Amino acid sequence: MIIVNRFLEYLLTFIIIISLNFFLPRALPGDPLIQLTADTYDGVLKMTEEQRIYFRDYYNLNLPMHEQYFHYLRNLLRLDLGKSIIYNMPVAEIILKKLHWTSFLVLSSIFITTIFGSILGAISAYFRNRPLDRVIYTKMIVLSEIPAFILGLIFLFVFAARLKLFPLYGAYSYYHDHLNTFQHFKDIIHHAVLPVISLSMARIGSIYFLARNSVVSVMGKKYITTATAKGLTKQRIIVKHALRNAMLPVVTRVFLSIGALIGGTILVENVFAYPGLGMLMQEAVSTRDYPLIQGIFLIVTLLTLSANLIADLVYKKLDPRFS
Amino acid sequence: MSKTGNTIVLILITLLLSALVIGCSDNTVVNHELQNDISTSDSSSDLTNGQVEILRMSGGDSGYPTPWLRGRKGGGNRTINLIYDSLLEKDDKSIIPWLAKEYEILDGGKQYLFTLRDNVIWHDGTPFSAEDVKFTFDYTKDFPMVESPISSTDIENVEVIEPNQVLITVTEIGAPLLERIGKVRIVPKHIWENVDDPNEYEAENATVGTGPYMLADYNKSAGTYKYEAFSEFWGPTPGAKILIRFPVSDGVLALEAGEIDIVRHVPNDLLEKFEADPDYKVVVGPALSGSRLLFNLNGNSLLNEKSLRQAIAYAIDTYELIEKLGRGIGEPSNSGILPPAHNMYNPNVRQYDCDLIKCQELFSVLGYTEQDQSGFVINEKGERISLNLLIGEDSIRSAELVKEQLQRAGIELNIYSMDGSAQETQVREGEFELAIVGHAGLGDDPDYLRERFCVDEEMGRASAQMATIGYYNEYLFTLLSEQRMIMDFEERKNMLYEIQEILAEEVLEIPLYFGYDYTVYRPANYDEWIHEYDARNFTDAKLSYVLYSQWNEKQ
Repeated sequence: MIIVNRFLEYLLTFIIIISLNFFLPRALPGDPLIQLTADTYDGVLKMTEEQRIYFRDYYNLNLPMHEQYFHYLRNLLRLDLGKSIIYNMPVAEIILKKLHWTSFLVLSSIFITTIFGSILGAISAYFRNRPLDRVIYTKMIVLSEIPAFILGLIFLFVFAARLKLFPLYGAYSYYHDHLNTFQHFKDIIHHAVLPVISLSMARIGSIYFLARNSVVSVMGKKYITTATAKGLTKQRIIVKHALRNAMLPVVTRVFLSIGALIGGTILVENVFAYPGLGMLMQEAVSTRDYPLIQGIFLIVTLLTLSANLIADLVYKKLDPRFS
Repeated sequence: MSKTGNTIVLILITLLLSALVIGCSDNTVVNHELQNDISTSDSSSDLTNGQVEILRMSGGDSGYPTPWLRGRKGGGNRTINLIYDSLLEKDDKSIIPWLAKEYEILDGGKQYLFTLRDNVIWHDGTPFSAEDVKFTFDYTKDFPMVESPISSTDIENVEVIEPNQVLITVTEIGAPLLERIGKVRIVPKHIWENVDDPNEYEAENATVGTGPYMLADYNKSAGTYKYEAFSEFWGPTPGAKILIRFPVSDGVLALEAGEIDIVRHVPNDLLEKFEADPDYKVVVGPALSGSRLLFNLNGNSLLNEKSLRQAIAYAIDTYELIEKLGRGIGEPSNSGILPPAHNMYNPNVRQYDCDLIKCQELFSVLGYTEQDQSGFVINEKGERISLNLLIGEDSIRSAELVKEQLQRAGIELNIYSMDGSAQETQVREGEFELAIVGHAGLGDDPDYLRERFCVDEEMGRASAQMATIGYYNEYLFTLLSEQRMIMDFEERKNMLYEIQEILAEEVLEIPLYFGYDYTVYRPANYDEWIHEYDARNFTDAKLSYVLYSQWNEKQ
C-alpha cells in the first residue's frame, strides 16, 4: 500500500512536470526559427519567408498554444518526443545517443564523491579538531567553493594541453579503428578522467561535510565507546561501526543530488567537448529548440524521480526502523 | 516487502546502467567501407600530386548530411557541400562555373541557360544529367531543403533543352538570382524520385552526390564526420584522401597539439606568436562581419530627428572601438553600410569621424543648448536626451563603450541586457529604442540593403529580421526595389552608390566597426585554403578541399 501511494505521488509529480516542461520553454522570449535565421552570426541559415512559413507549419509552431500542448501530450503517450529543430532528427534518438555519456560521467562522479567524501568525512570526524581534520576541512571548504567548470579549465590547460597526460577533448579517440575492445575501454576511461575528476572535486565537499557531521554525531554513541573499550583498531571502528551507521543521510543526499549533478555536467561537458546531454542542453536552450528542451528535461526528470525512488527504497533497506 | 524493494532497486539500477551499456555499443552510420585507419596516418607524408592522406578539422554535430536532414545551425552547410555539387561555385574573385561548364543570361534576366559538364557521375556510378537538375528544382518546390537560397515562387519553369542543357525561367527578373540559383545543391533524380518524404529519408544512398567527397561515416553519438575522396570526381583532385570533422574543446590547443590542421577565430592576442613560428601560417579574409547600432524610430520620437541620429554617429569613435574591442584589429565603420571589402562599396559617402563640436551643433538644432551638472545636454525644459539601448549578452563590452562615448557627447544611455535569443525577438517585434546586433555575411549580394531598409507593405516593416524600424522614404524605397532588377553590373553599382549616399546622410543604422577573423594552419600539412570572394571564412569554402589552384591553371 505504501508503495502504491508513493507511486501515485510520483505519477502526480510527473504529470505536473511534463506540463511545466511544455510551458516553461515557451515562456522564454525568443523563437527557434527567428534565432536560426537572425543573421547575427556566421553560417546563419538563409530562409525565404515562404520556407519559414513551411517550417513553422512543419513543427506546429503556428498552432494556438493549447493545440500545441495537446499535440505534445498525444505524442508523449505514443512515446514520441518529436523532432529537434536544430538537429533535424528525432529527439528520442538524439538523447539516446548522448545519454550514456552523461550517465557515465554522473555515475562515475557519484561513485568517487561518495567513497572518498565518506572516507575523508569519517577520518576527519575521528580526528576531530586535530591537525589532520583541520587540513582536510580547510581543503574541502576551498574545493567546494570552486565551480566544476573552472576546475575543468585548469585541468584542461595543465594536464591535457601542457603535460599532455590526458586527451584535450571528446569521449574517445575518434576514428582510431585499430583499437581492440580492451584498448577502446581504456581509451574511454582515459578521456573521462579529467571531466569526472572536475565534477567529483567540485561536489566532494558536500558529501564530506555531511559524512563528517554524521560520523561526529555517531562517534558520541555508546556502541563506539564499547568498540574502543574492546580494543578494536581505528580502521575497524571508523569503517565498521561509525561510518556504516552514519551512511544514512549520505546515501539520501547522493541520490537526491543526481538531478543537480546532471545539471552540473553541462559546463564540464562543454569544457571538454564531451558529447553528452550537457552540451546538448546548452545548445537546445540557447536556440529555443522546444522539442529538444522538452525531451532532455523529461529524461532528466525521469532520472531524478527514479533516483529519489531508489533513495526511498535504499533508505528503508539501510534503516530497518523505516520498513 | 523487503524482497519487492530489492527487486525494484535492482531493476532501476539495471535500467540506469543499461543506458550506459547500450550507448557504448557501436552507433555509427557507415556508408562506404574504409580500410584507412587515421591513427596511423600522417597528413604531411605520402603526398600524391598535392593530395594529403588525411585532413583533420574541428566542428560540431550538424546532423545527417543530406540537404533535408542536415542540422539547422551554422555549420550544417559544411557537412553537405563536399558531397553535393551546385551549378556554380565561388572562388576568391568571382562566381565560377561548376557543374555547369557555362551559363547564359537570356531575355534580359528572365531566363538562365546552363550547359552542364560531360562525364559527371554520381557517387553510385550513375551518370549525371540535366534531368537531375530539373528534378531538384521541381522536387524542392514541394519539399524545401533545410537551406535554400531560392524560393519556389522565384522559379517559373525548369526545362531540359538537351541532355546537358537546362533552361530556367524565373518569375521576376532579379540581379541576385544567378548566384542563388547557382548555389542550390543538386540531388540525384534516380534516388529521390522514389522518396515520399525527404525529411525522413536516411537510407545509405541518401548521401549520394556528385561532389569531391563521399560520406564514409557519421557518428550521431559523438557528432563526428568522416569523408573519403571520390576517385571519379569530375573536377579538381580532392585535397585529402580522408577528411574528418569532430568537436574539440579548444581549437587553438588542438592545433598546437597536432590534433587538427586548421583553426578559425584565433584571438588577436595569439597572432604574434603564430606569425613568428614558421610552422604556422596566419591568413585573414576580408572584414565582412561586425556589430551595428539599430534605431527604432517608433520607439522614441527623438530618433525621428535626422540631426540626432547624425549626432550619435559623430559621437561614436570607431577607432576607439577597434582599439578596445578588436585589440587594434578591424576596419573602421562606413556610414554607407556596405563594408569596404564589398564589390559595390561607395568610398565617397558622407562619413562621421568622431567630432564632439559637430555633435553640439546638431544638439543646438534640436534645442538642446545647455548642459546639466552631470554634463548631459538639456533643452529649455531641463530634459536630457535619454535613450535606452537593448543588447544581448555578447554585446556588453561594446554597449559600455558606446555608452561612455555618447556620455562624452552629452547623451544619456541606459543599457538593458538580456540573452541573445530574447533580444533578437524584442528587436524583431520592435520593442526597443536602440539595439546593438552582430552581423555576418556582409559580403553577400547588396540586395540585403533592400531587406533591411525597404519597408515591406504586407509586413509593415523591413523583411530582414534585424532592421531599423519606422523609417519611410519613398524615393529610397523605389531605388532599393529597382536595383535588384538591374542586370548590368555597372548600372546597378551606380544606383547602389546613390543608395549608399542616402543611407549615409540619413543614418538609419550605424555600423560600429568591421571585424576580421584570423585563421591559422600548418602549411606543411595542407596549403590549399581559400575563401570565397564574398565571405571571410576559409574552412567553409568548398574549393579549400580540392586542389583548385592546380586545376585552375590547367583550365
